[in-house]
Amino acid sequence: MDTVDNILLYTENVSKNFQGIKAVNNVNFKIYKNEIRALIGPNGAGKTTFVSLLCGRINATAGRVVFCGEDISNLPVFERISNGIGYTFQITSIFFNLTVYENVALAIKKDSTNREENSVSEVLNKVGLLDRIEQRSGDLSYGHQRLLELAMGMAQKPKLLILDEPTQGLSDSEIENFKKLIKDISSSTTILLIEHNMDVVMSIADNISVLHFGEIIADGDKETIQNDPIVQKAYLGD
Amino acid sequence: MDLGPYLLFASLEGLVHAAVLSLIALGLSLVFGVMRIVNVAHGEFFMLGAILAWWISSFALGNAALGFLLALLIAPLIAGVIAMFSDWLILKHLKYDPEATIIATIGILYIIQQAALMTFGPDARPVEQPFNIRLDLYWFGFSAYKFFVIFASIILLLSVWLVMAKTKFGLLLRATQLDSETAQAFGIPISTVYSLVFGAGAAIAAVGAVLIVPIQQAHYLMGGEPLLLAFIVVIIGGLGSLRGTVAAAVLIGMSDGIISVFFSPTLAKILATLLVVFVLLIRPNGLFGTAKA
Amino acid sequence: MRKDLILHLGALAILLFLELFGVFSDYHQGNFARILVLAAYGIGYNVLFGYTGLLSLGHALFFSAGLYASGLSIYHLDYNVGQSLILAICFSAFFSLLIGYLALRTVGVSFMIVTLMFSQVGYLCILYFGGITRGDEGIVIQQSSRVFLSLDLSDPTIRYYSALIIFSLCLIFNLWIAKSSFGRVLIAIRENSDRALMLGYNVHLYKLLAVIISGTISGLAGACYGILFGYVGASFAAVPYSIFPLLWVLIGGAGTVLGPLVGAIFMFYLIDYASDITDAYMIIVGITLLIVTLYARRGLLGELRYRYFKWIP
Repeated sequence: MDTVDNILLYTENVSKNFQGIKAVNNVNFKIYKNEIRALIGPNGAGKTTFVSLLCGRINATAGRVVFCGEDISNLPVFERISNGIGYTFQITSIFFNLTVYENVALAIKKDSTNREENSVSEVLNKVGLLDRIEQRSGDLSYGHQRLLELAMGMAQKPKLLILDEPTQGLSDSEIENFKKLIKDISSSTTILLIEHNMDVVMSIADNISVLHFGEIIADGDKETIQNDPIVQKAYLGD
Repeated sequence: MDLGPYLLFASLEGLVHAAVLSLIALGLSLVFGVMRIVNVAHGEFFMLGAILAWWISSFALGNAALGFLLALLIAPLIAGVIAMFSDWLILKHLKYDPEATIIATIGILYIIQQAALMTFGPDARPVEQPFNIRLDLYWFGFSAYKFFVIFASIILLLSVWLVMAKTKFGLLLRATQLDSETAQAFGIPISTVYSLVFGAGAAIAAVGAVLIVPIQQAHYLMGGEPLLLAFIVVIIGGLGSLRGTVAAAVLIGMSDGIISVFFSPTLAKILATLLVVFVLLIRPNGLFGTAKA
Repeated sequence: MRKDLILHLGALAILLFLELFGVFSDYHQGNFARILVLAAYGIGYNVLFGYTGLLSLGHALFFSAGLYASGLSIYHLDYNVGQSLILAICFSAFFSLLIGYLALRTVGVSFMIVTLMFSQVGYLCILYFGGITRGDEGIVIQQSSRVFLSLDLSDPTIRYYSALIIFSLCLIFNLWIAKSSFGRVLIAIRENSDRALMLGYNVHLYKLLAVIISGTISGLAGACYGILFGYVGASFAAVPYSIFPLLWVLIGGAGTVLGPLVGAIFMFYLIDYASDITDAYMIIVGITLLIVTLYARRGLLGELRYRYFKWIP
C-alpha cells in the first residue's frame, strides 16, 4: 500500500519547461518497490523527457525527485546511476566497437566476492548471449543488440531499472523472450517500463501510468486503465 | 594632453585591424555556421590572398592603383577556387566529420604554407599602396588608404549581410545552416552549397589580405597570427553567430590595435586569449553563441 | 596478458640490443635517442587522444612546460638534474590540472580550438618573458649541468640508454593503464561517453585525470629532451610540436601502446629525408596528414589490430 517504506521513488510537482513549452507539467509520480510499472502515452506526451528528469539526464525546471528516501534532485547523472538507477536507451546505445564481454564488464559494479568473468557470464547466460561473448557488439543483429542493452541494465543490479521502449523493432519471438526476461528481473528489481506495445504492457505490467501532454492523466492497475474513459479519449482523440 | 592624440591614433590603427579581422573571422564563422566544420587552414587562404596580390600587381607594370584593382578582383577568386578544390578533393570524402576535417585542414595548412615558401620564398615583400594621400588630422597625419580599408570592409560586411538576409542564395544558406537534412529534402543541393560556402569563406579572407598587404607586406608565415585572432573572435562571438563575430572582431581588433601601440603586440595577443579564458569560464558557448559545438 | 607483454618487452629488448651490439652508427644512435624521448611525448599524447578520444591541438604547451620548468631551474637556479626532473613533473601535473579544468569547459570542436589557442599563448609568453627564457634564441644547458648519478648525460651512449629508460617507463606505464579498469573506462568514454555516463561513471573527472596524466607524461618527456640534448628553445612550444604527436599517433595507430614509437620513427626519417631535398620539408607533414586521414585512419598497428591481432593493447 502507500506506506513510506514501500515507495522506491516519488516526484513532487516535477516540471520541465523548454522555452515556454511545458514538456512535463507538475507531475506527482510514485513507484513502489518490486512492481513493474508501465508508462504509456501517445507520441510526444513527454515520457522520455519525464524519465530523463528521473535519472538526471535533464534538469528539472521545478519540483523534486526523491529516491530511496533521499532527495536526488540536485545530484548529477552519474551519481544517481551509481545510487541504483539503471537506464536502457530507446535507440540502442552500446559500445559498438567493443566486444559483448567488454560491454557488460563496464556495466558491472565492483564486487569483491565474485570475479568479473563470472558476473559477466551469469548475466549473459540469463539473456542468452553467452555464446557470443567475444563477438564485436556492433556486428550483432538488432535483436541481439537490444538484448545486450538489457543485459547491461541487469548487470548494474539497480534498484530501479528504467527501460525505454525495449521491444521496439523486435520480432514477435524476440518480444516473447523480452517479456520473460523482464518478468524474471522484476523479482529483484523495480521496473519502470516505457512502452508503446500494448500487448507487452498488458501481459507483464502490474500497474500503469498514463502520460498525456506532460501530465499524468491516469494511474492504476490494468483493468482500471483499460476502462478509463479519459484514457480512451486521449488515445482515440489523438 | 599628449594621451588624447595617441589614443586617437591607436584607435584608428585599431579600427583598421578590426576591419580586416572582421573579414577574416567572418569567413571562418560562415563556414562553421553552414557546414559545421572548422577550417584550420583559413589563415593560409588569407596569406594566399596577400601573396597573390603581390604577384598580380607585379603585372601592372608600375601602376599601383591598377595592380590593386586587379588583385582585389582576381586574388579572392583564385583563393576561393583553390578552397573549393580542396573541399571537393578532400573534405567531401571525409563527409565533413568534425575531427577528421580539422586534421585534414591542418594538412592543407602545411601544404599551402610550404608551397608558398617554395614559390614565393622566405622573404617579406612589400606591395605599393594604390594611392598615397595623407590626411591632416591636426595632431598627426594619417594615411587615407587606411580609411579606405575600413570603408571597404564595412561595404563588404554589409554586402554579405544583404546576401544572407535578402537574396535567394542567402536563404538557401540560412536554411542549410538551420537544418541541413530538411534543406536536402527540399531539393537544396547541399553539396554545391557547401563548396560555394567554403570557397566564399576563403575568398572573403583573401579580400582582407589584399586590403592589408599594402600596409603590412606579404610573407609566407603571415597566416598564423590572423588565425589565432580569428579563433579568439569566433569563440568570444560564438561559433556560427555572424552578428557576434562582427561585434567580437571590433572588440578584439580595437583592443589588439590599441594595446599593440601602447605596449606590445605579443602582450596584446596574450591578453586577448586570457579574455577568452574568462569568457569560457562564465559562458562556455561564447557571448552570443547558440550553436552547439 | 602474456602475448602483449611479450610484444612490448620484446620491442624494448630490440631497442636495447641494437645499441648493446653496436648495430647503430653514431648518426642513428643520436637519432634514436631523440626518437625515443619524442615517442615518450607521443605516448603522453596518446593517453588523451588515442585512449580517451579527446583531440588536443596544443600539446606543445605541456611538452614545453616540462622543458622550461627543468631547463630554467637548471640554468637560473642551479638545480641538478634530479631536482629539476622532480620540479618538472610536479609543475606539469599542476599545470595540466589547470589547463584541463579550463579546456574541459568546452566540448567537441571548441575544445580543439581552445587547446590550440592556449598553446599559442604559451608560445607567446615564452617570447614575451624573453628576459628569463631568452625567447627564440633559447638556452643552452652546459654539459657540466647534465650529469646524473655521476653519469655524463651528454655522452651519446649514456644518452641513448637514458632515453631508452625514460621511454620504457612511459611505455610500461601506458601498458598498465591500457589494461587497467581505469583505462577501460577511458576507452568507454572514447567509444560512447553518453553511455559511460549512464553507467554511473563520473566522465568529467575521468577526462580531467586523463588530461593530467597525458600532460605530465608529455612534460616529463619535454624535461628529458632539454636535459639530454642540452637545448631549451621557444620552437618546442610552437604549433608544429603540437601537430607532431598527433601525426605520430595517427600513423602508428591511435589507442595502441606502441603506435607513437612506430609513428615517431617513420616521421623522423621521412622528414630527415625530405629536408635534404627542400627547405619546405614541412610540406611532407601536410601530405602525410592528408593521406593518413583519408586512407589510413587506424594507423599501422591499429589496422593490424583490427584485422588480425585483436589482443594488441
